[in-house]
Amino acid sequence: MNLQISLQQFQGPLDLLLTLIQKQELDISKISLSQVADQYLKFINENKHIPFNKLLDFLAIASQLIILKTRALLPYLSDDAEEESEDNLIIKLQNYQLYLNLAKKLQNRLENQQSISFSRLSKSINFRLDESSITLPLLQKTAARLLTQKVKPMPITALKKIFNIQEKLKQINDYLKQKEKFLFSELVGRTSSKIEIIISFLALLELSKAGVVFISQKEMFEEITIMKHGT
Amino acid sequence: MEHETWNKIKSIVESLLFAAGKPISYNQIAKILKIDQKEAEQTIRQMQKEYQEQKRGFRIVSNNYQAEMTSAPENAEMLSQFLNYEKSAISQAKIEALTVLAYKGPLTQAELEEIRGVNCSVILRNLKIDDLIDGIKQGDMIKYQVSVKFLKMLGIESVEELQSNVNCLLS
Repeated sequence: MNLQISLQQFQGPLDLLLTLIQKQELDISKISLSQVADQYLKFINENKHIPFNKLLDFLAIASQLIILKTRALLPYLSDDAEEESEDNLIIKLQNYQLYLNLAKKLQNRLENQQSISFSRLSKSINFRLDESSITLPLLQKTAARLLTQKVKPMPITALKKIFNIQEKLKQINDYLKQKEKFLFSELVGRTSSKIEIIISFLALLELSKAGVVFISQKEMFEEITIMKHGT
Repeated sequence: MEHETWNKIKSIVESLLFAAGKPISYNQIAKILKIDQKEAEQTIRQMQKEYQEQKRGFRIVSNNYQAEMTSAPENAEMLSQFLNYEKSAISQAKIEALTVLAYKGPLTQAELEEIRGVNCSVILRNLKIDDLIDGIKQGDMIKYQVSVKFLKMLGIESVEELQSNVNCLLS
């Protein structure tokens, strides 16, 4: 079966999974999940440009599908913990489907505007520009005033080169390729520029948020240790 | 509580909500009246019920955190004309997140992500900017809840009104 789908259509992995199941007119069950597992994996393979943070979400579900399919093929490899996580996935999907239906209802309600409550001081009043008040003489007068106004020239100063977070991120990433664990002081060791230290720190927080690195610090003002995720 | 004090409290809360013209938090109401937050909540619930029963033209919309005095939702058509109201569209992703928060909120970011299966930092930030959700601090955590503005757009006076008919379906 050929599925013409792209990532933009989906809110996330659950949405994709649900669509795959519904396209085949299946119910949400372990059997149908193992049936659509291949299509799901194929989809991820074909969408090379899924952004990193989204990709994680898609892969998390992909790994669950692979286990599920493996167990469907080799039933003797059963394990209570895995079975529980499969049941969890089913419940999650069923709930998700329910929420999608509820979302549709809310959407309808919003669009049909049979009922809305207004504030006493409604911000939704639309102020319209009274076009009749704009006359040619008024525009000329305003323009004349603006053009004759003396404008102080902007002072010209040379801007210092500021490190950009993107560059810093790349630099840290390169650093991570050589070393799996290092100290913050090593990273900024060569510089005395305050702004560069701040940018390095921001870049680090960004990487930590994206799950690329772990950061730890024993006490306040102590050394910060940076570890590559997964070591 | 004594009947007279109770009526006095209701009267002050009513004046406050009227004068504010925007959502005010239970916390604020409690502080001004020197009562505790639970009492403020009870008062507002009671008033909501009374206004509804009496079919008043003004109502109170509340998300269990803030309350605002509004027009009655069933008069929307006439008021829309009067106020020149134009509905604003909300994107699919936003609606989805709002639905989860409306029916299951207040939720932490992690809880919302568990249900939706996707990272929700961006969507939460955008919803916050649109004023469609409130972030409520509970200890170290922030829990998110649909805002009074969102309930107003739906013409719903409390989150319970939404939740009551579907709660049993969601595990």
